[in-house]
Amino acid sequence: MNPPIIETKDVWKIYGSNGVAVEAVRGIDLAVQAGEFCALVGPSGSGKSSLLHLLGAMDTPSRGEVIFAGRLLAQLSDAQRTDLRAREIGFIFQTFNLLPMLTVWENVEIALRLGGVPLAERKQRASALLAQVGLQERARHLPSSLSGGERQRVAIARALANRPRLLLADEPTGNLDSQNGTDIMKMLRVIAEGGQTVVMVTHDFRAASYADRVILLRDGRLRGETHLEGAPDMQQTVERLFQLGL
Amino acid sequence: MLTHALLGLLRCQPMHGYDLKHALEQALGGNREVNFGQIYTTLGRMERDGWVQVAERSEDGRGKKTYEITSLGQQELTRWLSEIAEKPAPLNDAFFSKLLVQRIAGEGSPQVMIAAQRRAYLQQLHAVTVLAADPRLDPVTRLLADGAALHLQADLHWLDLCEERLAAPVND
Amino acid sequence: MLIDLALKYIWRRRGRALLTIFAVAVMVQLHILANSVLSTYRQDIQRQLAAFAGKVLVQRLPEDTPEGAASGNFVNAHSSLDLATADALLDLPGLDAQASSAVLLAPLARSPMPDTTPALLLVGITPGRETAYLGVFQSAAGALTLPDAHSAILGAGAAEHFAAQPGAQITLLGQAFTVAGVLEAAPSLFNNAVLIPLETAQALLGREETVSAVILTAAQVEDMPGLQAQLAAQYPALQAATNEEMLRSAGTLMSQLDSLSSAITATAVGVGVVIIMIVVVQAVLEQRREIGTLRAIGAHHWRIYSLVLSEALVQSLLGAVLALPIAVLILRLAVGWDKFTTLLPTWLESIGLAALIGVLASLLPAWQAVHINPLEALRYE
Repeated sequence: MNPPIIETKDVWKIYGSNGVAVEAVRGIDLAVQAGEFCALVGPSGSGKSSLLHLLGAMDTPSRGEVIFAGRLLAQLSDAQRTDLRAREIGFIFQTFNLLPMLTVWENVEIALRLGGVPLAERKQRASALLAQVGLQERARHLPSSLSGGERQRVAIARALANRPRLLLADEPTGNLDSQNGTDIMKMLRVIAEGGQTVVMVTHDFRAASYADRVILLRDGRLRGETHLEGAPDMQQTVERLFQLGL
Repeated sequence: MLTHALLGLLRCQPMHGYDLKHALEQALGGNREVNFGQIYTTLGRMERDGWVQVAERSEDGRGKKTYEITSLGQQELTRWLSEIAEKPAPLNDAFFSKLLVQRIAGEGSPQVMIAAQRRAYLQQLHAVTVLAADPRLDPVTRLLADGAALHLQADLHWLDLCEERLAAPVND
Repeated sequence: MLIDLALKYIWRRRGRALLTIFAVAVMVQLHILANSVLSTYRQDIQRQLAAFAGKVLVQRLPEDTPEGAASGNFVNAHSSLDLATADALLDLPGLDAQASSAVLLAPLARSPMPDTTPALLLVGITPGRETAYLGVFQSAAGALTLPDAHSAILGAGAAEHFAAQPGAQITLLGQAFTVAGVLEAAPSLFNNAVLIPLETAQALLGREETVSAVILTAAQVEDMPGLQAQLAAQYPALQAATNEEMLRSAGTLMSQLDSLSSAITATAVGVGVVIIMIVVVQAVLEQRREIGTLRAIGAHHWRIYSLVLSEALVQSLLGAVLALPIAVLILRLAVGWDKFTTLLPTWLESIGLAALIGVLASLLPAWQAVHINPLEALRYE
């Protein structure tokens, strides 16, 4: 078996506020293999976002280790962790977090800039990324003129900009209606099927059902996991739906 | 429900059995074939109860009957529509029964059962979510799929509760 | 670099940015104004002193200079020498006789500033020895000699005052004079001078027996120390001012001018830094979430610093650019100044000053910006 792309070993995150310690993550062991589409599911307060921030080199654990592609994150400098976020880890947020002053195209371009891509290549790649998420027509629009679903697609294009090895999504459908939410999940599914590792955090079982591997979290601990494989039998599903009292 | 579906269709215009089958299948979004014999049996019973009557019998020797709704039938349709729909008993859950029996018999593991059930629910949820979001499908099918998805999500949350309360380690 | 983003942020709060730029412009123009005016003033003093090179002004000042006399504070006008002493002085050996003369000085119009040359200065001088006073300066029109008792040579400023050209008639103390020549533009001591024959001046002022001072010019510059020593030995009661001594006393004035201009510049920089700092600190607070996002998606500290620095620099540099027209306008409207070319070096210097303002002002907000925790910045809507 290949080494996991991201791995945690007995990782803890304890927030201290006014003498009260809050244990958000309590000793989690997790290993995600390259190419997996993994959903961390839990109610709010289960520590899933804290865990995602630890995986994404955005935060440092209170105890334990986070290992990204064989590199111990705790041994990296702040600048090296920043580089990691720029080039090897893509982030998708619940609230999209696009830069409101920049156009759709510029929002993608700036990620390439942070990844150190030269200007000529940036131009061509930003357009290609927008085409990939079906937004080439909206390139010159500001995020404020886009629907939630479109904004999240821009965020996905931005997250994919530097071809990261790991894509992290924090409640990507949390601010979307069900139709847009499903579109985003389909897109993440396609990305995962293209060989990209995706780790998503959600409290929504509908979103989680798109993953290969669903890991349940509660009170900062893992509570079992489920592997889902194979496409569902649609014909059978339709028939079951019409088991009405006819 | 078939009875009242037929009453509803006949309320619009008199129809013979074959038309009724087609109209009903169309209303269901073309997802399901309705048994022709079942329609005739039901029509016969409704005629006996005085809810429908034969309006016309064709002359071509095969004797195809065209039915129309009676005032009694109209009253029944109105009554049925205004009546509150009853749900199956909320506790009539097949999986919960299994969990109860598991506890009584002390055989097998609730954790394993819950994990397997969760996997099945998640797969079903994925299937209905995909259906509900498929723009090529008719609105009736998508609406039903959305309904099923909501039920399955409730079931998954309920599984979490079952796990927390029934399958939690007892060593503390 | 994130300069494009900085420009967009400035554009987003353009009203505030405009006010900031204007405030910086006012500060920078204060520096331009003070430095241009003071440096012009300084040059005037230096040229005046240079015109006295190789000369000695011998005078006898009263023990205590009368305060607030009609003559203003132009102390040289209070000096008085009797004619015998004046003649004796002019007979000293080693002099350039053509460039040495007794003079009678009398202010005709006061200067608005104390201790400076009167706005109009009557200079009585022996005809034929005009260069004793005029020195190296050339004629702008007409001749720089006094042909008769009622002729006059005007400095450029004096000519402007009388609106007179060579050949014109002017009236001084009730006496008509014909203008013989007009001097080129020169320091105020010459610019404001009206030269008339010494005897005419003595008669007009009722001072037939005295003169104000004697201007002695050494035939050779190297004779100067000898001349000074001789004066000190033979005439201990008289004051002999060479340009070196004048330089010394002018040096005090000039260093005061320098401190004044430094103080104004420091104030301009200080206030400019504070204005920009307030605006950029506020901007960083408003951009907290966006800076958090940039950090989260991999922006290094230096990029965040460049963003904040760009915002500060753009505003301070635009302020410096805008300062020039403001300075021109103020000088023109307030003092009718037209020597705008003298502003250019100061203005170019002020661009550098604005860059300094920008860099200093960005330090605190940049420190705040790079310490934004992306998790905290993104947590709240």
